[in-house]
This record gives sequence, structure tokens and C-alpha cells, in this order.
Amino acid sequence: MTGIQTTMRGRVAVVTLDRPAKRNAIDPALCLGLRDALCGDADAYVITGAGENFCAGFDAHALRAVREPARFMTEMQSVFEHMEAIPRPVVAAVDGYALGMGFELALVCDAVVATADATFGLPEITHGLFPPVAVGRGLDVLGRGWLRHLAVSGRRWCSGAEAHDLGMVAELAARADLMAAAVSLAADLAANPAFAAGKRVLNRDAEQAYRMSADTVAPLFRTLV
Amino acid sequence: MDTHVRMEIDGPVAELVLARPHKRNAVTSAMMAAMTRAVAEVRDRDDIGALVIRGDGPDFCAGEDVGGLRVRTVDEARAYLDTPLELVRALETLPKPVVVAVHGHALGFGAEVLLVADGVFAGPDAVIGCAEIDHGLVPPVLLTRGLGTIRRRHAVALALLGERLSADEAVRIGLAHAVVPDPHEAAVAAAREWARWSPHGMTALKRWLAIGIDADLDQAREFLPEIMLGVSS
Repeated sequence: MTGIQTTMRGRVAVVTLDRPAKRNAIDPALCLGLRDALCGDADAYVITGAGENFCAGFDAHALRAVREPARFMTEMQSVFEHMEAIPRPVVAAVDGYALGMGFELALVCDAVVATADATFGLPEITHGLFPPVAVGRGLDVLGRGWLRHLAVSGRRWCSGAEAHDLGMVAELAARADLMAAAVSLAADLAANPAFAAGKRVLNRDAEQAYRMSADTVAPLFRTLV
Repeated sequence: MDTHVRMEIDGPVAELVLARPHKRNAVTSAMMAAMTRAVAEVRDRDDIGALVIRGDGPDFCAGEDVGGLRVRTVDEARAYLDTPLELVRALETLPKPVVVAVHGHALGFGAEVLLVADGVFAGPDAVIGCAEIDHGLVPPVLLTRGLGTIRRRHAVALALLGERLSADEAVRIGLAHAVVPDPHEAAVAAAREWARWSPHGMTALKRWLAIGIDADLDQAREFLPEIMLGVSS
């Protein structure tokens, strides 16, 4: 019961966050399942959500039951670091909500394909938390102006079309074509013989981008309880 | 407080108002020093949860009043520069949301202050740009800290070509976040909402967002004095 389904489309593995009743919110089991799913021998990966949403963020209910929030944060962060470290393309296919950790998950992918009316946002601050990965890696993707607005407001949600204008989304697709577009983009990236080298150069500063360690964020989880 | 700057506090929101409308709210060193002291008060008062900056009259801020720029040495230039840089540092390191309401002209310092704001609400009449080029100067914050906020090409167009942006264009490049009919009302509404978020979370978030500011502003202190000496009368 990891909440992850993987299917192959040619040489591309489609990894589906599969907790649609929870809008695919991330809990510790899903976090570990996602990491395992990204350790296969596919040429490329597409991450998507079951049902109408990509991922509504962390599962606050499950998090309240986590005894060691610092460990959960470290595990989640290790999934993000793994996504940046593997030499294979990882593409997000986003429809519906991509909020909080769901936003961060998309952010860390090599590319995002989204529907024009997908919804991106960082509501962590409304729970007394903040999005460490967005603040680290998001700086490169969105610039500090938009990043701080999304993170500090907690309420300013961007449509897929706006996220495309801001550089967060590489390609827009109609809902019916979303998966095909994401698989095709992932395969195109994988077909580039220099992909792995390019990705390694791009992510050379991963350590710096992820320095907002669990030590900073985990103490804030006390405010959730 | 300087007579051209005033603070109005209503519940959890403090409004810092540029009140020199006959000069289109061009800011003097004295005004900026007064603003820095006001930001310190906002930081220290637990009953204030967010800061709004706005201007009286038809313009937000037409820039820095450099009419009296007379500096003869690097040290004098640096001392002059330290006033705006300290204000920018105080704003970006404030552990509370900073919201700016822009109407009419936001030039020079009036544009640079947008770079460190968490929310910029611009009226449809807003004109945003760098006035420094008219005096042979460059905008110190935009070319250093500002490069993390807006892209390099946009910084070149603004600072070195004197490009003026409409509100819509400013939103597109990340210098503003929304175009609204009444920027003051929108800024206060946002500030009221954001003032409710947990101070612990906000403090942590803003600390991370402010990483690198000291190094960036030190670069401005390093490079700007020579340019200022070159145009000083």
C-alpha cells in the first residue's frame, strides 16, 4: 500500500501518485514508494496524479501521526535529491492541484507539462510552515519576485497558463493530450545523448539548493499538532 | 519622524506613507532614514503583523532626490549610499510581509523598493522604471540584489536603457504581482490576510528568502561610489 502505481509506455515509466481520495497527498509511505519507483531501469520517468489532481501537498493528517517530522522531511528531501541526481529525465504531468509539496515535486522535475487550468500554489505558510525546496530550487525557476509572493501570500495560486508564462511549465497541453505530451517530452529528453551530462551540470549546486534542511523546517511542525 | 514620511497603524497592519506629493514623493536621505527607523519599529512591535508602503498624491515615488548630490571621496559616496541600502536591508530582513501599493510613477528608488516586497499591487496607470540613468547613475539595488528577483536582460533594459514598464509588463517580469483598480485597497487587504500567518513560519520563511542579501548589498557599496564621484557636482 505505497500509493504508487507504475506502468510502462514504451521505455518511459509513468509513475502515478495513486491516492485520489486524498487528492494524492504525500504521506511517508507514498514518499518511499515514489523513491523506489524512480530507481528502475526505464529510459525516462513521468510523474502524474490519479484522478483529477496532481498532488495537493503533504497529508497533514498523516503528518500529525509522524513521531519524527525531521525524519519525514529528510526522507522527502532525499526523494527530491534523488530526482535531481538520477541521469534520466523526470517529467511532471500536471492537471488539477499541484500545491505545497506537490508544487515542489513538479518544480524538481526536469520539465513540467500542464493543463492551462491546472493550479499551482504554496499554501504552507497558512499552516505555519514554509516550502523549503521551493525556496531553494524555486529561486532559479521562478526568480525571487514571484517565489516570495507565492510563498509569503500562501493564497496566490497560479493557473497552468500563468505558470507557463513564469517559466515553471515547459509546455501546455489539453487534458486529453496531457499524458501523451509528457511521455513524448520525456522520450525526447532521453533521446539526447548529452542529457545526463547536461542534467549533472544543471544540478551541480543541488547541495546548496537543498541546504534548507529538516533542522529548519521540522521544528515548525510542532505548530501543526 | 520626518515630516514627509508618516506611519499609520490600523490593527495588525502598519502603513508607511511617502508624503511629499508636490515633489512626486521623491525621497531624500532624511526620508529614507526615517523609513528605516519605522521599519525597525514594525519589526519590534508584536502587535504589527505586516507592512504596507504607499505614496500620497498622484505618484508612488519619482525616485531619489539627488539634486543635492555632492560627494568628493569614496567614503562620502559610501556614506550617502548607505542610507538607501540600509532601508532595503531592513525591508528584506523584516520577518513580516511587506506589501507595496504602486500608482502613477515608481522610478529609481521607487522601483527598487519593489524588488524586496512580498506583494506588489500596481494600478493600471503605473509606470515603473529606473530614473538613475537621467543623472548618469545606476540603480544600486537593481543591479545587485535585484538580479535574483528579475532576469538579467530585464535589468539591463531598465537600468542601462531607461526602459519604462506598464503595470502588465512589470507583472510579467516579476517586479509586480497583480494589476488592480485600487492598489491601496488591495495592498491593505493582502497585508491583513498575510498578517494572520504564524510568526514562527513567517520568520523562518523570510530568513531563507533573504539569504545572500548582505553579500549583494556589499557589492553595491563596492562598485557604486566611483560612479557617484564621476557625476558629483
